[in-house]
Amino acid sequence: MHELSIAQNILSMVNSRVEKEGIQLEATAVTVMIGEFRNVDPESLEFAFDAMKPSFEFCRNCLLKIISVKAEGICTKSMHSFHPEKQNGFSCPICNSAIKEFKSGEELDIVRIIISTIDQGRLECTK
Amino acid sequence: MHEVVDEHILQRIMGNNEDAAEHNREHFDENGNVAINFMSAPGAGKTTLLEACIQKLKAKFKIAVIEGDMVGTLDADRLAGTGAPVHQISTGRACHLDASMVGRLLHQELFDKYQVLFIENVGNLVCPAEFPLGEHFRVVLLSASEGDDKPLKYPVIFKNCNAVVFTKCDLLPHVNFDLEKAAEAVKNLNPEASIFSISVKTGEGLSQFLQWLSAQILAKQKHALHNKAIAAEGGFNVYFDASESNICRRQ
Repeated sequence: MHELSIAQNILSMVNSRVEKEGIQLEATAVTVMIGEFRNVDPESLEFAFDAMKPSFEFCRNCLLKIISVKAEGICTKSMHSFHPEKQNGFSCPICNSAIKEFKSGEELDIVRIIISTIDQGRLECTK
Repeated sequence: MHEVVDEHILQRIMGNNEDAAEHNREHFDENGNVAINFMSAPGAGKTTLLEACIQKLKAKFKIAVIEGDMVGTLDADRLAGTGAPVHQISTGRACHLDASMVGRLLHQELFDKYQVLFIENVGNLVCPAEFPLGEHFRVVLLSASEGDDKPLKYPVIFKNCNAVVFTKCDLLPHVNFDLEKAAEAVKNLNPEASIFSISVKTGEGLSQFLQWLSAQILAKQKHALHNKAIAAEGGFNVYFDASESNICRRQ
């Protein structure tokens, strides 16, 4: 359910970025990276994003692209790098030790914004 | 259509909550509060555990409570029965507390006189994990009746906490809850977390948890005093030690 707040954050960050850039511009795409070990459901996020974007002036035609990032843990005992699997209780499949740290899988970032000039056709339509 | 900016950036999407959490942390440290965020699914026993903690620790520390609930003051009323001041945050439709909700209370200067601030989050094993509040410690509860597979199903919350408390352990003979299995999943995700098995009803294991809690509070207070002393000497004022598990900031 917090996907709504996440979508809102993304949209307001993109919106203010366009505002800073100048007039006659709008965001056409935003790319976000979501790690496997963040509680974010891509489908709900897309739904929330599309539901909310009409209320953000410069994001009305903005597409959301989601890059899902697989988790990679480093184990405590032997520094093995592995994908934490539920079946192994998230332990290292080689030496069975715990996760010392995550190399990836905890991302929740905007990595790319595409800002374009508002095309003439659409401008006229709105007049 | 002409493309003008195609920018590769790196911006934290939850940055606004993280900043608000950091701001709360500064308030806590200024007030001399040690803040502890209690999280679990609904019905795991957060309020019951807090009642017990307040009863046992109120002679030692001045305790206040922030109670997060979607609707109603049932839990707040129960906790007020312990004599500790309780401040309710009704989240309405939101399924978690966020840092700015807590921040609004902090700005009312309600907690200056208190040493310990217990925060009872909204019952939910998903969303609260994504919203740090600026707390110094996070405690996650899992009751025996919920099932030992929960750390596998909701890894994020169990990974980002300082202690996991298995509650209602008096029910263990009657339910299929393998303590070892649950503890192992927690240890694999979060080797540094302290793990407790308790029953507030029978009192089993409660003293170990209280001991841990008091030790954490005292250590944090000592640390804060030390920082104040350094600041008084004109040195650097370190608000929090980065070497500790600082869950406010994602690494």
